[in-house]
Amino acid sequence: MTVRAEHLCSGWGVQAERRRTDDAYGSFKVDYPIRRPEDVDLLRSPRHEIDEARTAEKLSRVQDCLGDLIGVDMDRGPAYWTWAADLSTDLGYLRGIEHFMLDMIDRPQWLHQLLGFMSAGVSQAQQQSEAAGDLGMSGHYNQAMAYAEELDDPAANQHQVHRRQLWCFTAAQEFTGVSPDMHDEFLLQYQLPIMEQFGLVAYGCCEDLTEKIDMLRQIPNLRRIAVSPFADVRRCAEQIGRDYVFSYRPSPTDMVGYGLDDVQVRQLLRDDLIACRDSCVDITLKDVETVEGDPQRVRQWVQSCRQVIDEVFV
Amino acid sequence: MQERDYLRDLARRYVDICQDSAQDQRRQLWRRHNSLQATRPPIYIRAFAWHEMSESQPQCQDPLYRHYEDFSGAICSGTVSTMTRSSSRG
Repeated sequence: MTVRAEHLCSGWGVQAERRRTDDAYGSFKVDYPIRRPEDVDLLRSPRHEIDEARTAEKLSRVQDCLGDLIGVDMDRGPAYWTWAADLSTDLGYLRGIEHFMLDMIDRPQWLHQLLGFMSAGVSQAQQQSEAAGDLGMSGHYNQAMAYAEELDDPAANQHQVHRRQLWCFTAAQEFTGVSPDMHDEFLLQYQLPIMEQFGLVAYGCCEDLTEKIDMLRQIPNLRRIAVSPFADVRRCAEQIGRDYVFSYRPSPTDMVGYGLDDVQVRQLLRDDLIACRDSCVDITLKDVETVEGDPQRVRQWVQSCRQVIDEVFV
Repeated sequence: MQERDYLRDLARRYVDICQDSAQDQRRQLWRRHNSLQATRPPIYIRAFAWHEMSESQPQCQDPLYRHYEDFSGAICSGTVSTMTRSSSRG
């Protein structure tokens, strides 16, 4: 059971207020803190600094409650990790997708400077964490199971490790509507210095990367590519081959969101898995916002999925 | 049952799941798969509609206990393959 450290520095020093609907599971609109170009002066540079007193209190309470039953892992890794380190996520919250897409045309140098600042800041915080001996083997993350023969397994309380011993997860969801050339110029080139420090990289979440597989080949330690419900499975398979793990993610809506049409589910899975069966493929069911209160549906889906796998991968 | 006892019961069940020998087989499958070796395609259920499950109704009021109740409860209910610190998005 992992206890996450409390950090004295997280985010960028500005508030991105979220205006929510009345629906507890509804949407929200972000009030972007960077409204004018000069607002970037409000951003602070990230640093890795742990609130030792609050962290110790939290750890003590968990150990006191559960420590005799289960190992308690202390995660002292940096606040700038995974979603808080991919740059894309925070750029979306700070500036807004609709605005940074215009910035690419209207003020490209300004946007380059902003991404450069963010990239250097994330790298600095991660470096400080590593130098302090705070990185641990529970810092692995690849949006699936973070095991590989090239890296040591995730483990509790093994600190003083280096980024090269860990998986890195990076996404670019806010850039899904950005061309490959501009994605490369305005994001990937700033993500690369961060990702290159790690052992293995998993890239992508829900964004469509169909047109960007060639671009991703620049990542020297890339191992996993997300093939989201919005991607073209056949074209991704043609490009990925067996060079990388093909993380296939069928649409949760088609699979289990509204009833479970077993005939349709099997047909969709069969068509996609035939298209990518020469790749090193796994299947992730994610972002299932509803099963209409019927969890049994997911167990039934797993059974159908296994049977389709048996048909396709003979 | 008091919050603390409830959480400890969940932790015991979580440990039982972790120690099942099937988990070693799964770890080995993912090790080989992520190293680009030919395997049967692994299936990963990242999370689903936890708030719709009866087990998601909080028993713990303490915010720290509540966090671990959510984590252990989701694993023990079988609604996810795993939960990590980064699973709250995407």
